[in-house]
Amino acid sequence: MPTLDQTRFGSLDYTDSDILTFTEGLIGFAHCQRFILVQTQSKGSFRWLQSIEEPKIAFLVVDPASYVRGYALEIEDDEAESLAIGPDTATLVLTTASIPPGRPQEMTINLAGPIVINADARTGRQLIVDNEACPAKHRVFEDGGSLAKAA
Amino acid sequence: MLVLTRKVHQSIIIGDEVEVVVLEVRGEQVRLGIRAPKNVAVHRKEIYDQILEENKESSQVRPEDVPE
Repeated sequence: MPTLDQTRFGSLDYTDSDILTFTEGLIGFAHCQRFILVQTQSKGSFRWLQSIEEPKIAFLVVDPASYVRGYALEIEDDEAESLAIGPDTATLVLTTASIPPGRPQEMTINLAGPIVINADARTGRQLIVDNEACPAKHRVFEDGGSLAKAA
Repeated sequence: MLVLTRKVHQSIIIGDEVEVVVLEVRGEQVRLGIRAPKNVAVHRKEIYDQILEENKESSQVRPEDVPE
C-alpha cells in the first residue's frame, strides 16, 4: 500500500484505486495531475484534494450543493466528452473553498472553477464557468457569520 | 512575448491547431474569433486569473480554520 509522506497532514496511506487523474492538472497547477481525496475530520463536508506529485499541496474542497441551494452544474457536451461522462456516470462536483486565516465566517467557494470528477473512471478536470451567477468568491455564510448551511 | 500587428480579418496561428482572427475593431474594443480543438480551453484571462488565485488560496487554508 503506497504512502504519501511530507503532506500537511502527515503520512497518508492510500491505494491505487484512490488515485484521481487530472490530465490537465488544476488551473495554475498543470503539473499536479494525480490526487487523492482526503477527509481529515470525522464528520463535516470538507475534504482536501491532496496532490501526489507535490505532497505539500492540498486544496480545500467541498460539495457546492452543501452550501448553495439548488446548485446544479451544467456541463457542456465537449466537457462531458473530455471526461467520458455520460448520463449514467457517477459524477462528483467539488469547488475549492477559501478561508481567511482565523475567519471561517468569511469562507468563500469558487463557483467559477468547479472541479468535475468521473468517479467511475477516477478522472477529473477543473472547468471554467464564465457567468456572473457563478462568482469565484461566493460568500457561503450570511453576513453576520451564522454558520448555517443551505437546506 | 511575441508581438504582431494585425488588421481586421487577419489571423494569427498558434501551433497547428489554434487560430485567432481579428473580426472587428470598434473604438477601444477588439472582437476576436478563436478556432481551437475542443480539448483546448479558451477563456478570458481575468476569469482564468481569478480561478488561479482561488486555487492558491484554497491550498493555503489552515486546517484548524475548517469548520466541522
